[in-house]
Amino acid sequence: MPLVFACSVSHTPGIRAWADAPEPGQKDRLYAGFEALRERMEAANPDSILIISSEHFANFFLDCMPAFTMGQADSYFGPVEPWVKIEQGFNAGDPELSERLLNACYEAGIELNYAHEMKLDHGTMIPLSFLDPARKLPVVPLIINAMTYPMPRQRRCYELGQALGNALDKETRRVAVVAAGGLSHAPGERIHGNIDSEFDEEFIRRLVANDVDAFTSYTDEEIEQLGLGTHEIRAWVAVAGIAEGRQAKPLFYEPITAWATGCGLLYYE
Amino acid sequence: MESALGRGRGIGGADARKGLSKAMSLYQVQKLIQTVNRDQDSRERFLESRKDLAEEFELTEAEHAAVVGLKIHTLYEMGVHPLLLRPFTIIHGVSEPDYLKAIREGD
Repeated sequence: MPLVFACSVSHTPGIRAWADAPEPGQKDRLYAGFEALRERMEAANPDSILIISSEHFANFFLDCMPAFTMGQADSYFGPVEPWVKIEQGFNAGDPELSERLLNACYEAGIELNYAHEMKLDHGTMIPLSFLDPARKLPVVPLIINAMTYPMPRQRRCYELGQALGNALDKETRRVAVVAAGGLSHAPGERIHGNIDSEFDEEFIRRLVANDVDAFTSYTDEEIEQLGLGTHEIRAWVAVAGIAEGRQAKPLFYEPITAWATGCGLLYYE
Repeated sequence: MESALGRGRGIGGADARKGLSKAMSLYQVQKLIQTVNRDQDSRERFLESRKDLAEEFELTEAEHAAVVGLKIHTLYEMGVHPLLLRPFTIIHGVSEPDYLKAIREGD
C-alpha cells in the first residue's frame, strides 16, 4: 500500500520554456492532463515523491557515468537551467527513504550508486512544477543513464523497478512515484524534430497490455533510429516494474512538433 | 532518415563501441566542451581565447582545429554528443536553425 500513486510523464523543457509555442489547444490539453495527475496524486496523500528521470550531463559526465544513481541528500537545488522558466530553488530530500530503498535494492542484488549531492534539471523539475508546484513534498531523485553507451538494458530497468516496488510494499512512508522522460525525440541531432507517433503509441499500448516482454524488448539500435532522447523511456519501464500488478491508464499522447517531442502522460491504478 | 549509428556517434555510437582509441580521443574533446558548458571561469577563458583553453586538453590536430574553429559539422561528425554540442553552440550565439543547418549541410 505505501506505493500510493504512480505516473509516467514527458519532461521536455519546452513544456515550460516555450509553453505557448505549440498549436492552440495542444498545450492546454497537456496541462489539463498534468492537472488531473496532480489532483490524483494529492488525493493519494503522499509523504514523499520518488522521481525517476534521466541524465543530461547535469550531474555526471564520462569521467564517471553511473547506470542508476539515487539521491540521498537533505535537499536538492533546481532547475539548473534558468531558461526552463521554473523558479530556481530547493526541494527537500528524504534521505531516510533513500537509505531504505537503497538497502532493499542491494539486498535484491541491484547495486545502485548513491549521491549525497545532486542537482535537479528540467528532467525532474518539469514534472514537479506541475505535480507539486509549491515544493511541499520531499523528493528522492533516481537518475538513469539513458544518454551514453553502454546504458542499462530495458529489462534491467524493469528489474530495478520490481526491486523498488517490493521495497515500497514494506515502506512506512506513503510514496508517490513519477517516471519522467521521452517519448520519441532527438534533441540536437541531425534528425531533430523527428517524432515517431507510431512507436510512442505502440510503447504505450504495450504498457497498457502489461506485455513486459514486449516493452522491455527494444534494443538500443532500434531506439537510436528514433532519436537518442527516446532512450529515456527507461524511466517509464522502471515505473512499470514498480507498479507491477496495477493497470496502466493512458491519459494523454500527442506529437508536439513545437517541442520536437512525442509527449505522453499515463498513470497506474 | 539517417541513423545516428551510421556516423560514429562517439560516446554514443557504433564506432565508439568498436574502437576504444577513437572513443578515448573523442573523450578529451567532449571533456573540453563539458568544461566550457558547465564551468563559468573556463567558459569566460574560452570565449576570450579558444586556443589557450584548448591547449589544456589532449586533442589531436583535427580535434584542436575543430574546437578552435567552432566547426559544428566536424564536431558532430566526430561524434560529440548532441546534448554537449548544442549547449556549446548556444554559448557561442548559434541559433537553432543555424545549428541544424551546420550539422545537416556542413560548416
